[in-house]
Amino acid sequence: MKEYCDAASVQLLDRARHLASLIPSGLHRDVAALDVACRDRLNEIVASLKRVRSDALLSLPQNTALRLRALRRARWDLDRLEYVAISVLHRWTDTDTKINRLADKLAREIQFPLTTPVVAGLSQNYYHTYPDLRLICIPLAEGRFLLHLSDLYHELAHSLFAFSNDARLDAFQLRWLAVNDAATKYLEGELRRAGSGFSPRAFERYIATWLQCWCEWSIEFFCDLFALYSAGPAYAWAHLHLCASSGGGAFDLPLFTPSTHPPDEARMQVSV
Amino acid sequence: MSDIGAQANLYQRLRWYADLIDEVLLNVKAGAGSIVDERRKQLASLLMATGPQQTRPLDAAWFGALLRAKELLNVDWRHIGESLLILGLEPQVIAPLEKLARALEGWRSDTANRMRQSAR
Repeated sequence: MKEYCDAASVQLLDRARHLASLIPSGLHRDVAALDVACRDRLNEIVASLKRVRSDALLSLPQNTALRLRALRRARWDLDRLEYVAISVLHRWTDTDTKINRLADKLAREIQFPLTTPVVAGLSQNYYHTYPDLRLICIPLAEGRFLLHLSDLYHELAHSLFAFSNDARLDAFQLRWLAVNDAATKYLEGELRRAGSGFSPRAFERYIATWLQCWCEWSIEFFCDLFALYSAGPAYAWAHLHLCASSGGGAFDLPLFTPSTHPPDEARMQVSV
Repeated sequence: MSDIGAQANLYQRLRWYADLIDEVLLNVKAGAGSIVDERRKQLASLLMATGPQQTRPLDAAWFGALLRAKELLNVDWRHIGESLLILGLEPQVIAPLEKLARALEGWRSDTANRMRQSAR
């Protein structure tokens, strides 16, 4: 395993250097934040890989598991940069520039408290955000079809969870914490009741699953509310259109495997 | 937000905590590092904030949710956090920290795999 970690870290270091060279020069200032984020991340990954390769403590046989975990994390971080952020920079187009300027105007209009994330038309899976990279991915043709534009507000809200120690974010984050704590406390009580022997045993498992879901669900609810207060009823209509045209069962609740999103119907209830 | 975005958010959090715990574990196991070490203090304050309290930082709330999701709240994390801040660390704190590190790594890797699958 020692030889494997040595060789793999050298190969990944080469890959990191090559990826840095794939970031085009002369990109517009619109995309500068992502450029900086990519270079910072690459530097962090290189530092981690150098540690994996030559840190005396990590190289001890009793620390092999720790060393392998560090290597795996660096590998995944590098993959993510390559598949997402550096690909966005490498394939940056005029359409991306237009979408970014529009997103910037929308963010200014609602006095969004953070710098507008970079928006790129490179998504393979509808709208999604990488808050740590300050990047929102949207479908390639989205710039020409504005029906889902209000979903951009939902994505902007995800960035509000990515930073701590900013007084401008306190009200939003503290409200979320309060809601999350209240829901958790309620479900813990239900779990205790279900475990007292008077309910079918399956209930206990269901409630435990929902308890696991609530942290992610409450984030989605809060992002929905942010979008609703920013874009108005257009957001609720966009959500309805999305659920009706591409959703699964609007009322489906996960019973055994946690999900990242609450049921569509619950999100609609929050919106109306 | 699509599922891949939510998984990416979760992944980032898991990754940060996993890295922190491994770094502290490495030093603690070797008898290196000290109670003034910044990363050790960070982990200690996260662990100490897992109990019920009126206010806590966002990081600690997420950390608590992760422990709950992995059914790891039955350990006295507050005590382990306090132990990280005193001289002469009790060796008993290493085993639960290792268990936590393994659980987080398993979850991190599951989340990474789910992101790969949802992108296929």
